[in-house]
Parts: sequence; C-alpha cells; structure tokens
Amino acid sequence: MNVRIGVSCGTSSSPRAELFHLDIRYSKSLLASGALPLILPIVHNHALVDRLLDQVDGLLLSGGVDISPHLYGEHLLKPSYQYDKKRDQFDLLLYRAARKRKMPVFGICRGFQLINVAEGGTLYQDIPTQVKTSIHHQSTSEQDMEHLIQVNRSSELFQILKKDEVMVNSIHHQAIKELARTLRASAVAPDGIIEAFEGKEGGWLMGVQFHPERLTEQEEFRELIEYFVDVARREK
Amino acid sequence: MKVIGVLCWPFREERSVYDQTNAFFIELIERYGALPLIIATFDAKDPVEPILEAVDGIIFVGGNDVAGFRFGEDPHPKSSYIDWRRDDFEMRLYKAARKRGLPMMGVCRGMQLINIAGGGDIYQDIPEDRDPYVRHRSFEDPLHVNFHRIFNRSGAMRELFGEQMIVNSFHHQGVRRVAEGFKATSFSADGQVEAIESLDGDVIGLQFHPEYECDQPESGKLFEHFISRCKDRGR
Repeated sequence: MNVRIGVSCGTSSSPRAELFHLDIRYSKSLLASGALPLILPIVHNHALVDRLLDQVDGLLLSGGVDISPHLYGEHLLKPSYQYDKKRDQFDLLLYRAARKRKMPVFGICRGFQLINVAEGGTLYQDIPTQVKTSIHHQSTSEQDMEHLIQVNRSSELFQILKKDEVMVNSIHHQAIKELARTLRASAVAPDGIIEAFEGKEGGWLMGVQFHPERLTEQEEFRELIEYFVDVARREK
Repeated sequence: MKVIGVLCWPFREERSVYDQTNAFFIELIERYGALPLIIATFDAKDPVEPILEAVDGIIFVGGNDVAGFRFGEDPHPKSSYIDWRRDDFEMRLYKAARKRGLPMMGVCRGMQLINIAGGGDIYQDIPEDRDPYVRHRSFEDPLHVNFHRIFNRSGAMRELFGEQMIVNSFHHQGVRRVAEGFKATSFSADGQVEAIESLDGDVIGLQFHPEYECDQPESGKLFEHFISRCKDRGR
C-alpha cells in the first residue's frame, strides 16, 4: 500500500451535529487496488486544502448530492432540488489545487459532473425533464446493469476496458449538457448522454458518469480503478 | 504539520453503507493547529499498518456497542448495534498503533473499545449490571443527553481540570475492569469510570463527548492536550 488516494466526502446532519460521510464501496475498491484511502474532511480553513493534498498521491472526487446550478449560470429548475453549497465550494478548491500541482484526478458521478462545471461546462439539472430519452439513467436497483455505453476507440478508457461497448450501472438524474472545452468525451450512452471524459491537457484527468466502485466483481471495472491507482503511484 | 486520523461509525441506508463521522472532531483538530483526516473502516483482510504511516495520532469515536465476546461474555439483552467489522478493525488498529507508540484518544465507545483491546472489560448495560444512582443517559429526551459532575482523581484530567467538572453523558455501557497499563483518572459520583489514561500518558479515554460541547473551554483543553502528545513527523 505505497500509494495514497484522497477521497472527497458528503455532508449530512443529525439533531446534534454536522456529519461527514462516504459510501464504503469507494474505500473498499481502493483498498482492493492496493491503495490507502484517506477521506478528506471539509475543513474551515481553506489554507489547509494544500496540506490535505500533501498527504495523498491522487484525488478521487466521489458521488453524491446535485451540484448547485448557480455554478454554471443557471437558476434552480425546481425549487425542490437539493444541493450542498459548502461541499461544492470545497470540492472545487480540492479540484483546482490538485490540478495546479498536476495530481491525478478521477471523478465519479457527481465528481465527474463537478469537473465539467469547474472547467466551464454545464449540466442538465434533470434528465427526465430536459432530455428526450428512452434510457433509464436512474436505476432503482443499483447493482444491476442499466444501459450500454459506446467507448471511443482513441481514448485511454478504451485501452483500459478494451471494448467498444460496455454495460454500466446508472444512478443519476443530472448529466453533462455542454462538455467543457478542456475535456474530451471518451464514452457516450446510445441517447447521446456523455458517460466518460478525459482531460486534454495538464495532469492525468478522467471522469465517469457510472459507478465502477460498485462493480468491482467485474474485471474491467476493477481494472479501471486499478489504472487510476497505478497512475497515482507512478506519478507520485 | 501533525496529522490526526478520525475514525468512523457505520451508517446504513436501504442500499448503501456509509462510513460517517462527526464534523465537531474535524473542527477541534483544526482549531488546535493539526490536520484532520477521516479514516475509513477496513475489512479484516486489509492491513492497518499503512494508516500508522499516514497519521500522528488517532481518535476512536462513539457509536455501536462492542460485542460481548470481545471480552469473554455472551451478548447482553440490552446490548445492541453490534458491528463485527468495526470492532475487528478498531481492535487491530488500536493494538498496532499502541505498539508503535502513537497517541490516541477514545470517546465514549472509543474509550470502551480501547479498554477492551487493552485487556479490560465493560458493563454491557450500566442500569442493569451495576445499579448506579447517577443517570448516565436521559430516557425522556430523544437525544438521551444528561449532564453530571465527575471527580478527577489523577492524571491529565486532574492536571487540566482540577477536582471537579461537569460533563455531558449519553451512554448505557461503561468501563468495569480497567486494562493493564491504564489508570481510571475520573469517576462520577456513583463510582462509574469517566476517564482512563495509559500510565505513559499517550492514550486517554473519555466516557463523555467533548466534541459536542466544542466551544466549552474544557473541550478545547482536551484537544490541545491530546494534540500536544502527538509527534510532528514533518508532513
């Protein structure tokens, strides 16, 4: 375990306190890939963001709550949509500081969307309301495969998955609308929804809309996480 | 900068399990000049040694009851929220970190876990097993919070706070036989152990929750004291 991955976390509250949480499948899949997962708490003093990143060799932006549409210049489509301003702000700080030092960054679901927003892209706030599609992107049974993705042959993702088409899980109701100019799509769903991207420049950067950390029974998704861990180990 | 690892308790939803911890710990660590990291719960197959390289001190937090078999007893009818995975991970981590000389703080279950991992034991249910007259938990209040006096007899507790102080209280288990190499340093009026400290001063266990009263000077002093015991390994 000679490589450490920092993982962003979510917030919730109890009657007594604010809480930080992370689905255990992120840390389990990193441990299985030989990395030490370290969960990065949302600290008050933002000068500590760089100290947190000093402790790790790669950054994994995890899934979770919707991103505030104000961050890409839109108002809330429905007032009932929930977002977490504090987490948005902290995730953006982590992302920018990691990119500045060319640290490998991997984004999953919300993390994938956050990278696009940080790079200047936009999101659909709600796929069922805004996109005409017959594909079900928000599965009710998380373990099950929900839809195909088509992988771009010239992408790094293709080198890892080694397949033109892969079935993935799908647990999201938001999606990328305009992809940031600094990113290149590496996989799409049959309805055109972007399912994966890679960074065009700077340090190693990849994002996926699906959840590989919940699919580690399957070799190709295990290899995707191992690939990220290997990049972090090599570049540390 | 000193790095302090904060452990988690499991939170279950219909389709997911989360590692979860209290933001007040993070706030207090930050306030007293150290860097907080949250440590995920490991499976039995995962080695804990890499954690010891990554942190300079560890906080064992509150939550689930520890399974009775960990100290040679059968399950008590009043004992609940047993988590095998968490018990196993924390016992292994405590033992490995103790060997390495890492300072540790245990809060509520965290203190009980440390005492058990060190060879001591606990009352599985204070109201049934020892008939105390101090109410260590409020039963009317859904949050179960009570406040009561404790008497500091020795150790850091006596040095930092003098003879008496008021603490919060929401627990139904408590330390019975203190682990070898430790001393009970604070007690409630009915004689229940409220703090334990290792004889070398590296480990402190508290039955109360300083993090929930994070703006009280006593909580600050405890974190300042704990962080001062941790060695900066130049991170």
